[in-house]
Amino acid sequence: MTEHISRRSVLKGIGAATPLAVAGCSESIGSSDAEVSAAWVYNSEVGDQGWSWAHNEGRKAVEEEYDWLSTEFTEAVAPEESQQVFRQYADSGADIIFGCTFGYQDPMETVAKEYPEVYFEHNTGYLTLENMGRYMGRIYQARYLAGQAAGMLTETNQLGYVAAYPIPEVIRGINAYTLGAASVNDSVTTKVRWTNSWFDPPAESEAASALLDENVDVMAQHQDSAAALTEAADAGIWATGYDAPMQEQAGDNYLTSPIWHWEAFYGPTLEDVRNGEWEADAYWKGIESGVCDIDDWGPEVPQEVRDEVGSTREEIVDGSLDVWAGSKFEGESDEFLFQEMNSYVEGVEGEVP
Amino acid sequence: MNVEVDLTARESTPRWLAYGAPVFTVLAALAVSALVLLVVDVSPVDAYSMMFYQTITTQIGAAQTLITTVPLVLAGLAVYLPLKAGLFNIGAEGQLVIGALAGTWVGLNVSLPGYALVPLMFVVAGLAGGFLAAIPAWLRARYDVNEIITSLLLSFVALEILSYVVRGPMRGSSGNFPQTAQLPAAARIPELFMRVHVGLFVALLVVAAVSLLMRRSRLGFEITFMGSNDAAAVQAGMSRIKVYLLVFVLGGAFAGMGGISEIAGVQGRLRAGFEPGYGFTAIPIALLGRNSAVQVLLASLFFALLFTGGTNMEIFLGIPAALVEVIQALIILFLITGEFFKRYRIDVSVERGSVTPDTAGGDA
Repeated sequence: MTEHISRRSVLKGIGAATPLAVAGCSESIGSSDAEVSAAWVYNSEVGDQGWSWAHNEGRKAVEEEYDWLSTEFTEAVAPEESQQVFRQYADSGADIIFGCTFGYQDPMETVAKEYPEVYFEHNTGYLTLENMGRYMGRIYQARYLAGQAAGMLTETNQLGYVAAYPIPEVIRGINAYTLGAASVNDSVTTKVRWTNSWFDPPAESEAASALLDENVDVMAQHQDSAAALTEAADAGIWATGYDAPMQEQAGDNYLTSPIWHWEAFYGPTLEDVRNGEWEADAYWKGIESGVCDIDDWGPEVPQEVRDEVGSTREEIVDGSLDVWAGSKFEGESDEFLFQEMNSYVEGVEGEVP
Repeated sequence: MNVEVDLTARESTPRWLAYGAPVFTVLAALAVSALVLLVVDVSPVDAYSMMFYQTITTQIGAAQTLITTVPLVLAGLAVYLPLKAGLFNIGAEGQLVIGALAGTWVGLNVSLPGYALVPLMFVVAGLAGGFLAAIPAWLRARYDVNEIITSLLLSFVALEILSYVVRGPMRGSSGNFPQTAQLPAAARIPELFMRVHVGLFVALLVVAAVSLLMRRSRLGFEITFMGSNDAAAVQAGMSRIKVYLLVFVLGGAFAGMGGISEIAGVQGRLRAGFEPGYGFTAIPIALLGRNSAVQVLLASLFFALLFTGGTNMEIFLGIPAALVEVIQALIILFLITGEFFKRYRIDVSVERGSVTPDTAGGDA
């Protein structure tokens, strides 16, 4: 009953069918020829073209870049099943484990305490331990930019927003988007429809179509599928996506999308692990770090929009523009912005449910 | 040429078939799944060795299998008991959720030492689950309202209540997230061994109690009688309301206890969507284990192994999650089909040409 599934024995058993780490890595960490073995755990399938897809692109980028790194991942792991996955990775010799959804916070905490010599990084949470860091990007800056473009392009002054769950991360995006739109258009209103699911294409389409009935002419979404964009494309209105480039689904009326470049976090973090310099911290950087940005513009976006938003982006990057300046959230702490934000700024219709 | 298929209900299942059917059907399912595995270039032998053998022979895998068994067997019994009385409880999911909710509320709001608090949480969780289950039972016994529909729909009611309370009255203080605060240490179910919590012991006790109830008690006889012919049972002086309420309330109570054992034993706090459908998985478990509570336990262990081993296949062999689900579903589908063959004899007769008994036999 005390046998462990080691990568080595598995590898021996199955031939070289999977790219698993073979080096006994933990003892060589800190030396320049150290091998690092890293594992990612995703809540949805990597083919979703959304959240997990973006993380997996980050994983592939670092896997490609570093020859001393071996990576593995497990997809579609529900939070209640994730303890087993973290434990198996920790037990079989991973040096660092990335858990890519909020719901992994408790399970990861449990397993991190069982394996103090393994490093853990939790995405979107608020908890850190000696061997468990957390990371997120200020994607709301990119939301602000997308909102500014939307504010310039709308003719009905009604913006639609299909959103997953009323949690701070999503509310932050809605608020930043609305503030961006309001910065160029003072009569704009954002209408939000909740799906209560990260990934539910039919519900996302339905929400989008309800918004279309309310006369919105720019669609935004915070979901893991591009269903709302497809719905917008069918109606011939502008649309912005999230997580991943979604030009394909939105057609010619694609505006842009706030997107992730997680390799900007994973790369330096893994180098720290290799050099023995990793420390558990709370990473929350913005566009200036490269971890998030807006996607390339859609083919039909007018030059004046590209120029205006481009110069706003410069101001965000050089630090001269704070997205929250002038709103009711001006001067709030990172802690508040990250985990307490629970109401809309002016310009969003209704109340947070 | 005519092919005739005759289905005859068996009066008794031959011994070789009773034991052989699950084995053959699982093997058949694995053979079909092997084709899929070969397509993605994974050796079926390695995959199955990982899914079953390496999962139960490693500490993490064995412990995880036992941990997953706890809510499965308790929810399984919640379907099994009504099934014995000829009723379908499709609402174990809701009973599990409402039990988890009520138990968590007690854990967060009542201060008692652990040895009193944890049992109280189980009792309250059981009462909540039993109450939710009593509604379809009473409607069925009193007004003949189909219990399949009411119990199923009440599950969605329970899930919506959960979704509401974790965003509203029971939301934890740390940040605006749809979850309660963490249960205090006194409200956590203690560990038995290797992270397996005392909930396993509770589950085994419940299995033993249900087994005794069904085999040794007059009530058990009434339940079985009611299940095979309710009109005759009523003629014989038994009460439909009593039996229907009993099986549903007991079942709902078990499911509710399964819910709180998952929260207080494993997860530590209540979240929206904390359960991966244990209450629905309970339905095939009860169908497989329909003959006895011990068989429900065995079926639960097998399902827990399927889930744990399936995850291990993803982790160690990189098999896509969707494919693992296909394999799990195939095994379950084949097993349920195997149950059918145990209960019906199938005669296939092939008739050729015009010389058939019907036409050649005259007035025979």
